[in-house]
Amino acid sequence: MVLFYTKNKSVHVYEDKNKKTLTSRATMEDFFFKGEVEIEVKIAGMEILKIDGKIERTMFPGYCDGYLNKIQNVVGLRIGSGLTKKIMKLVGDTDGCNYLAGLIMECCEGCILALTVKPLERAVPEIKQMKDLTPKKLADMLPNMKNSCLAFKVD
Amino acid sequence: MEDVLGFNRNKFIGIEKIDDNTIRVFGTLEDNLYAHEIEFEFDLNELKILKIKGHMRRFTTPLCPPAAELLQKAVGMKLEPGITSKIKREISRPGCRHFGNLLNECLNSIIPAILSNEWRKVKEENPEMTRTEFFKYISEKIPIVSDYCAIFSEKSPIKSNPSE
Repeated sequence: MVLFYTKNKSVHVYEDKNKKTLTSRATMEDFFFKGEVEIEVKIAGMEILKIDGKIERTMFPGYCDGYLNKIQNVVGLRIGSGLTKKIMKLVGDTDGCNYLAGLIMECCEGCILALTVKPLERAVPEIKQMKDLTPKKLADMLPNMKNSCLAFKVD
Repeated sequence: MEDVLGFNRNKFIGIEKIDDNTIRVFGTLEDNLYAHEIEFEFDLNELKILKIKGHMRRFTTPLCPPAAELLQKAVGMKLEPGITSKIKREISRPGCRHFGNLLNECLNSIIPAILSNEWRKVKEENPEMTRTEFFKYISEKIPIVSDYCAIFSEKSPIKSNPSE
């Protein structure tokens, strides 16, 4: 069978030399749209400090581009619970662009995961050797991940 | 900016037609930590998931793979307002956040996929069709697109520009 629709989305996250901020860049391309969003996030407090974006291709040129300035509404938001609803309200839904909202979400998710890589890298070899592994033991090793999913479900 | 990469995630969504009413959606996610795949069949009339399977190729703990079972909760779920939160509540948190993320990415691709299919069809039958004409045609044929974004909404700027 031939695919009639494809979408590629990627996110790249860089830690600044001073280890105080992250730069997260998400790009996406499908049949209608090619675009990019880049955010800078302060690691302490996970606040979005600045954002930039561009739409390189869209089905409705001259219309979709008009929603690009809405991405500035997320500056000052903190990456944490309830963020999806806030971003959809500020940038997406029927009053904005869901592609751009999705790219911002991808950038934010990338920041969280980037900060998870190092602790997991350190913990995984030990986890693999552990006998009678339980979610509680995992949550004790990586407290930030407590109750985030089945493997870390304690309550 | 530091000159080395700290984290990278790639997602790919592909959609094929099974018949006029059913599509098959493939989703793959790969990053520094995880490599997940899902595949599901979707009914275009009722806008719901018919069946689904998922596989974790790479994961971080031995407690991760059983979370794939929770994907079965998606069977019967409809593409409607609130679906993103529902998947987070029923699949991501009690199961695997990354399966939930990938499933939402797949579901977010369905309306664009329907639109791209319709756009190709109408441009083949009527190459002169304008964006405004397509907008009117698709809004009547598939009313759910009006919930998708500002361009297809009731307040769409295209509506007030009939020359396009």
